[in-house]
Amino acid sequence: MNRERLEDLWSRVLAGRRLTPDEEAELAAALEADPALRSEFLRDYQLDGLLRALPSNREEEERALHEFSDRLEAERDASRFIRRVEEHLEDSTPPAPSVKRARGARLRIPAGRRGTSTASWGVGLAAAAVLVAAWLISTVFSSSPPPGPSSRGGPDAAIPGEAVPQIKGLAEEKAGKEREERKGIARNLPSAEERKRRTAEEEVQPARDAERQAELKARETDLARVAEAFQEKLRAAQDRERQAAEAAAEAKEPGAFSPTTPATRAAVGKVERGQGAFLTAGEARTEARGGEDLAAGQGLEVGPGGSAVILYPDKTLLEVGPETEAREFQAEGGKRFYIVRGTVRAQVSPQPKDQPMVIATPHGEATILGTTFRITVDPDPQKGTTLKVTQGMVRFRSSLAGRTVDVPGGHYAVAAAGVALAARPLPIDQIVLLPRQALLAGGEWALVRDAGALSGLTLEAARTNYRIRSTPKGFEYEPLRGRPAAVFTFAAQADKEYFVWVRGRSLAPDPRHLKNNEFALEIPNARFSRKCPYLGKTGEGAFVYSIPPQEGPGWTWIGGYAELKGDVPPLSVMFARTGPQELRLYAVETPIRIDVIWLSATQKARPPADQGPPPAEDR
Amino acid sequence: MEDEATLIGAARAGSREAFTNLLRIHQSRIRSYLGRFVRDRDVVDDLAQETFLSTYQSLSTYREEVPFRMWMLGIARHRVLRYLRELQRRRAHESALFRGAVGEWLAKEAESLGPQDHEREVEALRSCLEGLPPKSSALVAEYYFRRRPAAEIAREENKREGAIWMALLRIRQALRRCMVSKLSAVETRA
Repeated sequence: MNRERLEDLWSRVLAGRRLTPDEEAELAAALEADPALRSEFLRDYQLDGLLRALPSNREEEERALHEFSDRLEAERDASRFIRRVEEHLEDSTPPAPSVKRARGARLRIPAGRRGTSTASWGVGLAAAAVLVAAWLISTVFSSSPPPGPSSRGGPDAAIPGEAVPQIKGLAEEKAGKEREERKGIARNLPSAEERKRRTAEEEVQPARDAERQAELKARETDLARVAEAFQEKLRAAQDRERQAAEAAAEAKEPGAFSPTTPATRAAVGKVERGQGAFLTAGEARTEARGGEDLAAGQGLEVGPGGSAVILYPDKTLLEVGPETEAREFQAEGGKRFYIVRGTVRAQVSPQPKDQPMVIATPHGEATILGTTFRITVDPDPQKGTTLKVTQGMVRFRSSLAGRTVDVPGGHYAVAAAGVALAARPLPIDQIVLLPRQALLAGGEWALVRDAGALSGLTLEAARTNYRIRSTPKGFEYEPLRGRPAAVFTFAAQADKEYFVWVRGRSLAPDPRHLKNNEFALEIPNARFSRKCPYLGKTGEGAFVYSIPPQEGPGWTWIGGYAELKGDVPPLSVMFARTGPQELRLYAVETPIRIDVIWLSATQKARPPADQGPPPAEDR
Repeated sequence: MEDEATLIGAARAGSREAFTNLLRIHQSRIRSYLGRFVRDRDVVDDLAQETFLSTYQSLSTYREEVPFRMWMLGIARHRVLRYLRELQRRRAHESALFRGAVGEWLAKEAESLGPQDHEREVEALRSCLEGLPPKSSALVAEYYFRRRPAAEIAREENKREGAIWMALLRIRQALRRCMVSKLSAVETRA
């Protein structure tokens, strides 16, 4: 396909015109086949976007700030309002234990830019849906026994025979109380529904003035909160009623209790791989082999040195580490399981908004809509549960701190006794700088394709005018500053020692030639572990690296000036401060190619030539 | 308006007004960053709001070693990456493979483009816009800044709409060349 045709198609894409499926396929194939063209068009896409976003529109920006301010105000008021509703409910119902937040019940306050009327309807309909759902649930449950498997957290209960009648009586009494409580809440629903209906009727009449609009908005916000409070109360009451009923049933048959014997055992997911891992159901344990179903209500135990991978139908992936015990896998109404101890790394596909994935631990609960993270549970409450989020966002609740925090990608949070719950930046142990991340300055370095490169792309310096003078005192290297360079920016920590590995190769016709194998690294805010003998004037933040020529023309990892042998004592750097850093790569002797630069706090020995740095999700 | 450090301190102490003033300083920067990856203005608005909220909620974790604007841009980057990946999955599900692929490629671009790169590129772009020939400059202003449809401009100029799209493509190519040269010059000077 010629370039003119591709540009025509591309310009139509950017103008927002729809291409035919054939045209899309044509363009996609061309871009797939030619990374340089793809890169050019993607840069064009971004430039087009930048130009659209460049002129700042003060009016729009101020409006956005007002909306944001309103949202903050609303979220702050919401907690106060819900407390008031709770107090009201406490007055009309028996005392209840602490309220558990309903999964997926969060109502987002719509942004005002869609117009007050639309926003009103959005909240109104959402509130109506919640109220009606709550009402239906309460109606159904008032005449039928609670369905579904047990969701209680203490599956190890053993009941001595002599205590059975007493426990049975208490459990039945509790079940009765919970039933009454739930009915009390249900009694309040119709009046709230009536208030909601009246407001909805009022909304259809055009608002006369700003004051009226504001009043309506305040009322609908209140109603949304009432709906949420009702729903939370109702669910909590249903949970308690179900648990009480189950406790009563268990008391009748003390030997029959099993935490994982639900009426139906639909498959939650499949065991993709298993080693030293077992599926558990009550006392029963079967080896978790690849291809086996993980049924609802089952658990998973992985022994020392073992591992297991669970795959859900939506491609959500769990990697369960050694010495991990997880229980009560459920999928109905949202994926859910409980980790008693150990580590699970999860790659969660986007979940329905009202059915987030929930992972409970003895110390808290993580709510996920779609992301990659790792969760580690130590039964010791002092160590607690650690959540590390690689991508996306996870809502994390600490039952010990009684708080919830949103943990974004690149951050972690700990739910443990005596630890303030907060999202903190993850420690940076591995920094991997790939050719495509470099900003090329001065024209000596170019991005080229190379099948042997780990990312398929490499930086190539075909020639350089860098000067090395031979003097009676030895070689004198030209200062680096101001020279053409490939510049990388990244974040690093000040309190760590990073070993600096570079994967490169010489393109000299005879790779044993000693004049085509050098480059220099400069890290302005860092100090190398040794002073470079050739770069006295550049300071301690720079070093000349040399590709070991005796290793032939292939790729190799270099840890320093390896002119004479590959395994030189590796260089490391310490940064002067935590935060954004810069690394500059200079060509000293050419032609050479650089594949990847890897700063590692853990890789202290020269890696084998074909080994890459750890993938992004493991860093 | 107070200086940034004072505003950050006050916002951490709970002043929403101080936080709003911080947003006032940095909002257009965040929007331009989001805008380079996302066309839909409503989505840009949503992502900007999410960025603001996330910034507000994580203020206690902010460390002064990183400039505040870079930190905010980092949060915006996470947001836009998440959006692009979701878009890519959704598009793949809808069989809109081409748009899914563009989403995937853009996500990779967004991954490799640090906040500092964005800052430098915006600065270079502003400078390059000043050097455009008058005719090109007028077309950019009409189409991008005044947001007039290409069809309307084409009618006025008695041209085909496609000719306007192509002219805009050529202008962007020229701007890109100019930006690369300016960025290289800056780097060399540094």
